[in-house]
Amino acid sequence: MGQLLIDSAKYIIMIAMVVFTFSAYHSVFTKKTDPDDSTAEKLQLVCVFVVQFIGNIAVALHTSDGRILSLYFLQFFFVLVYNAIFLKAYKSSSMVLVNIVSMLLTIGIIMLERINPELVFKHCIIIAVFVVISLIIPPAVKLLESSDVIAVLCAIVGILALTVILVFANYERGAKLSIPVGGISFQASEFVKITFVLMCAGLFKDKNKKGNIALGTLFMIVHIAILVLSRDLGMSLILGSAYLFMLFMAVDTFAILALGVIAVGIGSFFAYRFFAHVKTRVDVWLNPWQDITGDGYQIAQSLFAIGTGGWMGSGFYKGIPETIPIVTKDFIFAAIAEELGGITAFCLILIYLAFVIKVMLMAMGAASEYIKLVLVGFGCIFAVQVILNIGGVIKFIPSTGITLPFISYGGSSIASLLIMFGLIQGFGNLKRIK
Amino acid sequence: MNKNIRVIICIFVVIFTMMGLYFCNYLLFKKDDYISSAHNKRLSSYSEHVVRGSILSSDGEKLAETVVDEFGEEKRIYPYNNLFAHSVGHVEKGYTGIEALGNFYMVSSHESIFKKIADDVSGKKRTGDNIVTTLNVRLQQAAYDALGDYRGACVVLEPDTGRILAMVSKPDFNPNTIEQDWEAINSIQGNDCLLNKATRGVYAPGSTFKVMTTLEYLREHPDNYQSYLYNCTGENNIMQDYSVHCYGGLVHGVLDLEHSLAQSCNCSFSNIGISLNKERFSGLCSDFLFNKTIPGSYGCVKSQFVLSADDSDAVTAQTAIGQGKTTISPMHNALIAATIANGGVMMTPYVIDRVENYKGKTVVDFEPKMYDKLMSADEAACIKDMMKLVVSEGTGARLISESYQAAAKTGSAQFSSDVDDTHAWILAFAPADAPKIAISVIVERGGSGGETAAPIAKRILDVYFDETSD
Repeated sequence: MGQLLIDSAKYIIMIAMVVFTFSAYHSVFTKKTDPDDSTAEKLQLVCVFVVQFIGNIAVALHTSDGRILSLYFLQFFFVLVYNAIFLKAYKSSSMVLVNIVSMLLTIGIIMLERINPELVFKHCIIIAVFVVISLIIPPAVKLLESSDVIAVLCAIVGILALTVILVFANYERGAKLSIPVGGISFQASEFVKITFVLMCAGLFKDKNKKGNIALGTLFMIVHIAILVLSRDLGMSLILGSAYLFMLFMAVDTFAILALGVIAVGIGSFFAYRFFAHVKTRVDVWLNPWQDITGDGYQIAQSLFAIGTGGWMGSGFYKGIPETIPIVTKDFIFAAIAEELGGITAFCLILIYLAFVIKVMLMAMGAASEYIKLVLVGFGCIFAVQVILNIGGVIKFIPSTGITLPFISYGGSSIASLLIMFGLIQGFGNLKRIK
Repeated sequence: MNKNIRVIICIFVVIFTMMGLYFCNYLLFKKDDYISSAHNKRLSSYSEHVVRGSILSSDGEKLAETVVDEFGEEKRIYPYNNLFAHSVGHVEKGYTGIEALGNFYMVSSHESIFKKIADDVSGKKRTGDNIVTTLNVRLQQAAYDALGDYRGACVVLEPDTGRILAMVSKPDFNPNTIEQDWEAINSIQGNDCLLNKATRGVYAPGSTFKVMTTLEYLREHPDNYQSYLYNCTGENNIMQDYSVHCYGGLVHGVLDLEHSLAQSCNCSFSNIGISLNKERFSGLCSDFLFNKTIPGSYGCVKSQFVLSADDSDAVTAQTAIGQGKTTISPMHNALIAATIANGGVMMTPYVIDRVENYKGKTVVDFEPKMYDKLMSADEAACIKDMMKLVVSEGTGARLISESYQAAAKTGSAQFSSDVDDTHAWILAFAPADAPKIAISVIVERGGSGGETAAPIAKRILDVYFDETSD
């Protein structure tokens, strides 16, 4: 009976994911006639609970680890309370976004329990702490309401944080990423994503202030320069594209997008020429077979995992995701595809897109230019991060070493995303307050 | 601003869609190329859930199957014992042959999704897919018997498709008992019974290589090759202290190009060889896959051809008659014969014809694939005519038959300083005017190709044409 449940878990999760995906798009694209009608959102929440229950039970049955069961009850109440707080306290917030975040966090926790149970408790503690922090952000965003001083302050904080990393961090996998702070590796660039967006939005909100736009560009160049010196090219790409799209909104010229494409092209060319780790990643992207036991090992393992899992997946504990290097962080998507199946993984891609679209739609309805810019900036950062991560894992693009939002293990990543989410909900609500 | 946001939404929708389609495309069409790799550790976990499928001959005979006894113990059975030892291979002591090539298909299962779920839930193993090969039991048996106790190899191809009809390597072993025999096999030094000489054997091509030399001469003298004449005295003094001799001390007298090939005159071909443009000759051999990976998945050893501009005439002369540093596998030589037979178009050799599920429904179908057009139809026809002459007037006389006309080229390749101790080669195809079958045979230490290898090729051809006339 236990084995039966473990084996059929993938099917149940798959069905829940498909239903959730359809329901999420329904929520994103339909204008509510009755503001109190929350059938779709309730359905989504049920899907989250189904995935959470089945996933945790499967892992608990297989490992016979009682702690997993306790952890399950904590997760359950956490999602319940999290949902209730948004529903009651922040009435006008977007529940579909809350549900998507709950679903993504749930899948992340389940996969981490499956792959490395030792890490899952730390992961859950970080989530819990920052969820609480993110809950007090929405009312506080009014304080952030734009001023040039805050923008410049954000820029300075961001540049300082990146400089600290550049000076003090050690290289890991070819890039300087983090410094240990009290036993937790602190990846400053994850938080710089937030200050960077606030900086750009603050300086770009008035398109007639050419000086501000020039200043923003200057700050952007400094950010990217430090990141390039730290060889953190994935983050350069994320910040660069957020800048690009926000500038495109501010000055309203398509030439900006063309210039951006050219800049990315030139940047990629030089990165390929002058950074050995970029060159290897591009080379194994073009042909993973040439060094299958060396540099091509990771992407090959990832493709083996996804392919062998197929549409249906192998089921919990029937795959071997642990053969993929860094599977809990950058390559978690491959593990999900392997054991839970290609359909579930494909639903994830769609769910991420639904999140991006919803944030952008919120931006379109936002009250001020500043809020529009902030929301689009966060949306872009989120979207580019998903593209870089999943694209790298499935060999759509070369791998860049970026985490998968809300799913990957990694304290800084989850923390910054939750803060970002708090800001999104906070700014999203402001328009209605006005 | 909202107009711009709409543009940004569109951009991300497009990128996500492309990424999603790429993902689907991988799962639908590309994944098999990856996961069938030997580096995929996940395949072994497949076999825990799937009963390995069978390997079938082109006419539906079981060449390998897994039987499950009442205790659920699985055993791999090879009904033909030694006959397909190398071509089908074995799973014990490492996967080889088709067992390795088609491993992925046989541990995959294309049961209907409902049966899959039912099997999953009831804890029953799924039934693996079967591989239908291009191998023909009668031809395989004929080649196996014809080689007899000789050491060597034989490859039979279908020229216009590249289908491998038979592949024999001797000495052989019994895949059913390889586990028990393993120690005994490895205790004998120099025991090569596990080696598939058809694909992994490395031999000097000897006079079979004169086909390449002739082709290069044709290309360098397209208008006047017919006026080539050479007077063979049995010895061609190339350099002060180096001469080439004809096989068996023969003196051929005056020969044109086609009779040089028919008689396999070493003196004449060494004479041709030193006149050739070395760079172009190397280029031709490179086109014909020397020093390159042989296409098809059978894991052929690379053939070797080395000739550089500053090589002496002695080296060039040796190279032109298929000695020197040149090496070739029987599979590659069969491929060259098949290319000439097929009007100059080389087809990629293949042995897995299709994959069927347990109900016999085709799930993967392999189509013949053209590798490249390596010769013009005229060049192929010209070489073919000369190879007909090899049979009708030259060294391949043992291939003369009433029921078909064969074209061939013999070879007697030296492999040591002893000029009388040679490997016997033959390349043959028939019927010469519309070839259906191409063969390469090597008999180690078989002496003369015309005497030893030709009768083996003839027995295979006899069986083939007897079979098809039935």
